[in-house]
This record gives sequence, C-alpha cells and structure tokens, in this order.
Amino acid sequence: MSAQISVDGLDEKGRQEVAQLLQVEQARAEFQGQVHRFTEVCWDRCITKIKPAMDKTDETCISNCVERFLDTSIFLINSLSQQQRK
Amino acid sequence: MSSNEKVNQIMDQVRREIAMQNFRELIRQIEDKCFTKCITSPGTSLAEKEQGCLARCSDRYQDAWNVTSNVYMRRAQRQSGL
Repeated sequence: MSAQISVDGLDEKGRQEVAQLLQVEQARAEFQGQVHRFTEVCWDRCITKIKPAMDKTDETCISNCVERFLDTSIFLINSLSQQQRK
Repeated sequence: MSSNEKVNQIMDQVRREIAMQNFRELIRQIEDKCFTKCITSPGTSLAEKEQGCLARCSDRYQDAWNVTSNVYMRRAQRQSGL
C-alpha cells in the first residue's frame, strides 16, 4: 500500500463499521484476483491470433475455459479430500 | 468530522488503493502477454507493425478479462443459489 490508512480518531462503532466494509472489499479483491488468474490461463489456451475484434470462437473458448477451470478446481478438491479420508 | 464521514473517507481510500493495484496487475499481465505475442524478434526499435499489434492485443486482453469476469460472476451466483 502506498498510503497509510489509519482508523485513529474513529470511535468503536466506526471501527466496527470499517471492519465490516473491509470484509466486503476483501471479497471483491479476491474475486478480481481470481479473474486475473483465469484470464491469464485462458488467454494462453484460447487466443492464438490477435484479431481486430473478439469473435464468437474466442469468446466461447474463454467462457468454456473458465467454466472447466472451476470444474477442475472442484474435482481436485473433492478427490484430494477423499484421499485424505482414507 | 462525523464518524460517518470519517468511515467514508477511509473506505474511499481503501477502494482507491485496491483499484490501483488491480489496474497495475492488469497492466503487468498485458505487458507479459502482448510482448510475447507481438514482439517475436526484438529489433532496435518498436516497429510500426509491432505497435499496431500491441494496441490490438491490449484491447483483446481487456475483452478477455471482461468475458472471464462475467462468466465467473454468473458461475458464482449460480453456485451460491444452489
């Protein structure tokens, strides 16, 4: 962080409010972090040629890529947790 | 300053910082991806053709980012609705 953010001078109620709002922002930031990650992976998978505009083929590929990446994540979590239970 | 105003001020600052980091990350990715795609044999300067490729690549990367964001958002909504 480039700037110091301080809750000095905030009363207890204000601090609680900031804590709650920070959770929302954190969830949003995590979401965007995942979008960055998926975009990188799916760009490499789908975009072989730079076109003047995004066409249906590229869009469908990226869409499928993101969905399958998420499926992969769920699949792996399930199979790893099953392994652990054995 | 009222407590409410102070809270808003802090959160504005937080949101600005996050937006800035987000933007920096996007630029970093566009640099990596578009350099790889467009500058295949680096010469003594950026050729006009390379510059055109970089501009188009940057636009397409942002398109890809938006598609990804929409797909992930819809998926997250679908799953939380289950």
